[in-house]
Amino acid sequence: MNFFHDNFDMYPMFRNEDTRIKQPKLFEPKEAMMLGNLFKDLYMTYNGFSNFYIQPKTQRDILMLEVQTSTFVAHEINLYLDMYPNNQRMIDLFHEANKKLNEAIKAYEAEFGPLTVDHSDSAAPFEWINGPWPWDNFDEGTEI
Amino acid sequence: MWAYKKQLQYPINIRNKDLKMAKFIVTQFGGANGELGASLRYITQRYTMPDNKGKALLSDIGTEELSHLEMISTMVIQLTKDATIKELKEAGLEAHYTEHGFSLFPVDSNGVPFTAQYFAVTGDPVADLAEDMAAEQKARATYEHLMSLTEDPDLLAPLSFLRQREIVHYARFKELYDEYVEKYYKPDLNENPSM
Repeated sequence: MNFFHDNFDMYPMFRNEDTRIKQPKLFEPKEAMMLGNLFKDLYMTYNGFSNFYIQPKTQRDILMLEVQTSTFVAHEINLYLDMYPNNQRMIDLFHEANKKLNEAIKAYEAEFGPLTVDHSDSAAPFEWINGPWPWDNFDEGTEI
Repeated sequence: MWAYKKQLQYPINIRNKDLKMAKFIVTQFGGANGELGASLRYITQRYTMPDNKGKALLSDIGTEELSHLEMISTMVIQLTKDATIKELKEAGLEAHYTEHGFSLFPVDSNGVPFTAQYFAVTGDPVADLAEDMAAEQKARATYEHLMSLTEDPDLLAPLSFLRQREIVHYARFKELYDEYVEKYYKPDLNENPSM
């Protein structure tokens, strides 16, 4: 199975020949985030149910959705690349998604504080502990 | 090691209290086909995967399942927020309340507690991946059952998202399974012409 693919380095003449790797068809990032699936060929509905585009209501939700979308796209490509590490096109898309993710994280954190503890660089009090935590209902404000 | 990110994989904002759905959805936390079992199964199996693809895939999917555990927990907590004793009784949750109050606890929808047997680890990569493929399909079926039991769009959206993740994980596990069967069990006719 996938003889040329798995032994790519043994066959330098095929190294740049992209056509030998089947390129998956992808949903747009927004659509993929809505559905929970980046790969068109893997998508299966249940009783014709389809999710709607996510409608963020607050500035916090809007910036968080940007982070979530790029996190999701990068993660889907990550799982794909675990199985097909030689697909250069998907590696390029992975880098692109991570670049977008870093921009989205910067934009979110500038307004709403650190998403990871290593980004908590405030003076006292320690900013990391501030709510809302992810399981808090965002509509109800920040204090729990 | 693991690092925590203060974000859900998919946004969850549930407006309507629904204790019955909380009682059902909790099975994806502590049930046989739930996210806790899935995560710990993959994270435990990865140590006996024979190559780097297997180690990577099981680490990465096992990690994602932890974020699903967080989504399921979030749904249950938001569905039961501000519940009264009367409402708990009506939903058949008084036994849960007796043991655990308003806390989460890994049980299935019948109240049966989580057990390490759900890990189902054999140390055989092909058997383990077949287990993982079945686990993803069983979790998909459970998500479909849960979707049939509610009409609340605040619940349907994350349930449908999680169902779709089972489909993608199944596909990745199957690809690795097929590769291992080919690699370890199929005779190589060029090296063993007698076969």
